[in-house]
Amino acid sequence: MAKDLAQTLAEDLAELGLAELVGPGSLKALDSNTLVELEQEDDLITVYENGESLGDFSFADEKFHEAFMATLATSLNF
Amino acid sequence: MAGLGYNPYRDAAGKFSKPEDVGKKIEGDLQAAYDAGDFSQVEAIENYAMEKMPESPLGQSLLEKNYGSAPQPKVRSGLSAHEQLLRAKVTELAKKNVELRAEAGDVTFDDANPERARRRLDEAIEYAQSRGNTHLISKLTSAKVLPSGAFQRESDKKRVNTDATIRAYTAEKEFEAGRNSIQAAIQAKIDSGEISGEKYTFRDDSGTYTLTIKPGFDEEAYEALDERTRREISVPVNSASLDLAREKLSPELFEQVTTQQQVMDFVVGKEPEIDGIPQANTNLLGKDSEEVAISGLKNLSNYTQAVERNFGSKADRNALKAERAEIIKSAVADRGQNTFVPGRAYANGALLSTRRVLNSKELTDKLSPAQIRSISTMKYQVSEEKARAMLSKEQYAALFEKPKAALRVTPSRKK
Repeated sequence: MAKDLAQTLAEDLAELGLAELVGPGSLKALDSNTLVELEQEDDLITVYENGESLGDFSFADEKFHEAFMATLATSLNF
Repeated sequence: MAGLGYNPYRDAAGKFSKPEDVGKKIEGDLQAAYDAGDFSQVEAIENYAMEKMPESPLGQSLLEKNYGSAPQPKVRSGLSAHEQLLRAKVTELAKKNVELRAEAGDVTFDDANPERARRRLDEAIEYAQSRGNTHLISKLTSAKVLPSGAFQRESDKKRVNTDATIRAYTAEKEFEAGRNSIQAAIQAKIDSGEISGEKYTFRDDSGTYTLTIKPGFDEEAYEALDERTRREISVPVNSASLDLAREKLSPELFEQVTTQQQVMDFVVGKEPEIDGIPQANTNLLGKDSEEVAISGLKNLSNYTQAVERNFGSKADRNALKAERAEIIKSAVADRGQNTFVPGRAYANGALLSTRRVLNSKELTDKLSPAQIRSISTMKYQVSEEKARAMLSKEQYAALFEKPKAALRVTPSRKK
């Protein structure tokens, strides 16, 4: 099965040095214990911060990238 | 260091002691070593108590005996006596540095009072030390203090101030602690065998609450292994170092292989009083595994709903946090250095700073293998494969297969 988008995004963020990849779709903030998990279902990506959902982001939405990155930047402090 | 040769978690047969029995075991072992006149063992046990349990009564009395006074109890546990003394020295030097900068008029941006700015930085440094955060100390040492912590966004005149941001930050920490206490209560039931199985779900109008139990790495079991065993189950791993990259690469190349970020750290030396923070219920009741697990998830639901009633949903709180951060970050973006944004209380504020982090894709694209080697350091990492080969089945299971609770909260979408 092809790698899902959530996993690819998590890997990209880790490559940029924005967070540490700690598992499939799981990122840890560089300077705190905040764990962010990305889960994909159909065209929705749900972002969880320490197990609590921050909402669903649809990558069919043209504002997906902006909203998604703003949420991650807030959670991961970058 | 000496002391690592002694391990109170295991007896001569390699059997693990319960963590709650370790304090008594150390005192018993120490007495036995004295009685036997085995002073190398006495030294090993005393070093262990000072390094691994500096906040225990035995650790404290030994530190006082050996160093004149025990290190500040505020310093987090797990540090050796030497590390704690070094950190105290770092704090002292940081304050001296701020004092010299204040005398030279280098701690404020405008014609603000340098003495007040210096006091703010000193108190912020104290706070960072109490958290064991040497990185924050280092950033504060070179920071300049803004005269005010109130900001307005030009486009829509929206106002934000540091105190509101600090209150929200502190409240989130409280919510996290409440949630963690429920998770810890559930984990205790798993450890005692009262909850078993893999997954439990509880749904109500507010959302879905899930408990997943998966095998995971146990830090305590790892700490209990002796130094030699830890080495035997580890493998060397190369990783690129930011400091080495800064030192060995040209400034242009360094910039190309790194990403710059603007980050915000909080200093909360004086905790604000916040009304409406709910109390988490950590009583888990039930006659079988499922009932106990669901009882924990119901507690989590009640807690989450109480937080949402008083402070809004997690998504809304996060959006507000993002907006405030964006306004403050844009206001100080062109200051070009670490900027301390004051709160009303002297000991409170936010520190805006930039950091560069290595971009691994750019590293492999822009650097030769020799260049990558020149900026890499080697560290040891636990290898599951080696551990499986080296350890007994029981030891391996204790290390890698501890059943661990993970909680997940998904609010109802119809809300």
